[in-house]
Amino acid sequence: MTRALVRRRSRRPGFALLSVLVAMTLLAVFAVGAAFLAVLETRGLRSASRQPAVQIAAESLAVGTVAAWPGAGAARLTVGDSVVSLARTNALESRVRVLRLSSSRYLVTAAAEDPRFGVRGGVWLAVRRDSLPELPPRALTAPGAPDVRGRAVVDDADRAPALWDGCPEPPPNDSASSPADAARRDTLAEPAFGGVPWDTLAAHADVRVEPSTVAEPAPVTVGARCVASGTPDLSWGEPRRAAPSACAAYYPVIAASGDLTLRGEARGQGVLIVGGDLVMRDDAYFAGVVLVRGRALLLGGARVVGALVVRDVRGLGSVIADGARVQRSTCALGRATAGAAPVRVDGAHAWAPLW
Amino acid sequence: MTVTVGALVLGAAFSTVARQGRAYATLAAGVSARAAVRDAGDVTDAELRWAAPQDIRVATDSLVEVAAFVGAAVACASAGPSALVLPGPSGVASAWRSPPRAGDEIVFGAVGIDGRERERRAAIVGVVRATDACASSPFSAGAPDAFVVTFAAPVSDTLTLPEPLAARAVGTPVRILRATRLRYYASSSRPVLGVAEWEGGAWGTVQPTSGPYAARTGSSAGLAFRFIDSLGGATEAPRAVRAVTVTAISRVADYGVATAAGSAVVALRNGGGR
Repeated sequence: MTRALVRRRSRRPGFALLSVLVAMTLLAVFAVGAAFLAVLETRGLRSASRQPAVQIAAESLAVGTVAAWPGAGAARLTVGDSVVSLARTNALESRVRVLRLSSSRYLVTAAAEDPRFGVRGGVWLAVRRDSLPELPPRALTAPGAPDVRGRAVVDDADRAPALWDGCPEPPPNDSASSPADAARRDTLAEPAFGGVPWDTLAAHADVRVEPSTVAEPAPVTVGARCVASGTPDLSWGEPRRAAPSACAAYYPVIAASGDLTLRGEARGQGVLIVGGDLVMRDDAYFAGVVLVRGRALLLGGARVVGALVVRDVRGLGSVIADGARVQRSTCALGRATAGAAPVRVDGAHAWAPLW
Repeated sequence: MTVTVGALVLGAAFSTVARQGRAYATLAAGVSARAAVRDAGDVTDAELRWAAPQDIRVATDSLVEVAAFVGAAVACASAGPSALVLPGPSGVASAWRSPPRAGDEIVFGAVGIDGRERERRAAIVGVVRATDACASSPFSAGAPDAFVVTFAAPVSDTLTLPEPLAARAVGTPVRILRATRLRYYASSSRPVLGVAEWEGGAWGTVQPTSGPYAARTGSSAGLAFRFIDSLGGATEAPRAVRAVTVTAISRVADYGVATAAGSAVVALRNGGGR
């Protein structure tokens, strides 16, 4: 009797225990599955929300690059060359590349990556700096009658700068006029050049010069690259082509916020915007466009080849002294103003995803 | 007595297991439904984000037809009056989502006879893969492979321009677009969002990409596109579209049943400058 009871008791709890264990196992499996699902969705949501943020960061980098255009850095690039900048902010690793496609076109590629979530975004943006559409019709544009002294020359005949290759033949009917006539008929209307206000041009300058600077800019090369000379950057291209130079193709937009004096063997090319008075003396030489808000004093053997536009806001009068020369050159103007306008997005399909 | 208690315990245990199973299925269905809603936004974003307004050809609440982005590259050379060589996917001056093919559209800027640069669009008639075709180009760094894309030059250009169109596009950014349809439709009786591509003469099969969504009943649908113009108002004119809103209601009814709803706005990146 006792043995039978013991046997019955030992069988019944075993079955129930097994059933409960199975049920508990199933519950555990479901619980783990639910937890797995929750983790999966959380991760998916995090990545999904992070991906647009990273993509927007990349697009913002591209827009920021256009807004704060690396003027001289980009202008010194040769076609096919690029400049790359890397950064790491807020756990984002980013890379921006500016690739020069032509004299006026650039390609900006910006990429951002968040290694914590393994997400990345990237964008390609085509931009361009157009040439200025209108060029000064005369060598010297100035209000009133600039003081052209002695053997000074203001020549409206279109001539290429000495030793410049590839300049087109000037039009046959573009003959020289007398310096006095050329100077007398000059008047100024709007402080804009090529349809772009001077202030806008200056705001997008590649090189900036402090007021009251007295300088002797000269091109600086390292190997086959044209580089900046330091601070202030006085490497403004090479208008003298007696020997090959990597700076021969560099035409920066230079903005001096006040008075500027160029002396000695100073030389440069591109667009020079002077907020105050400009003094060029000795053998100072600039090829391209010179825009002066104050007055211009060209002394000694100073030369401007291209065009000199003077506003003379204080009415003090400009002076082209004996031995100085202002020579009109559409070749120098064209090359100096190619890519001088503010950078803008290029065309209706400028944006593209990198991946 | 013992048997009764045991049965009650087992019954309770299995009931709990069954409920837990249903809860799990509902949870899984919810995850799927929410993912389907997110996918609707992702798919729409992928196809429309890089379009310009002029790329949108059809805009209805259940169908969008767009010239979608395929690739972009800086043309490194011309290979004939109407053929351009484009760097392959590994180049620094290229970005490809998929290889170009005949039937796609090529878009680039070129100066016309009036001296002004305009956007040219032409149908691609042939694509050949090439190796080192860009070798002499400054834009070929890192891209030994290339695509030689032949296109049908617009007649007006071939008649009026002395220089071949392709030659004037070398060194400029070129885009390849492909006509693509996003369609809300029933696939195997399950409403889904599908994508079909133009395959040079005919539309390819619509491939379901996300779903399932709720079925269309009366005026309500499981997925709907709405189009926004530059002023933020609703528009039905394809060329006026500046952004697209996709609203999705996903209903998953497999082992569990769940419904999720949401919407996403996709702004067109191109066509309006910055």
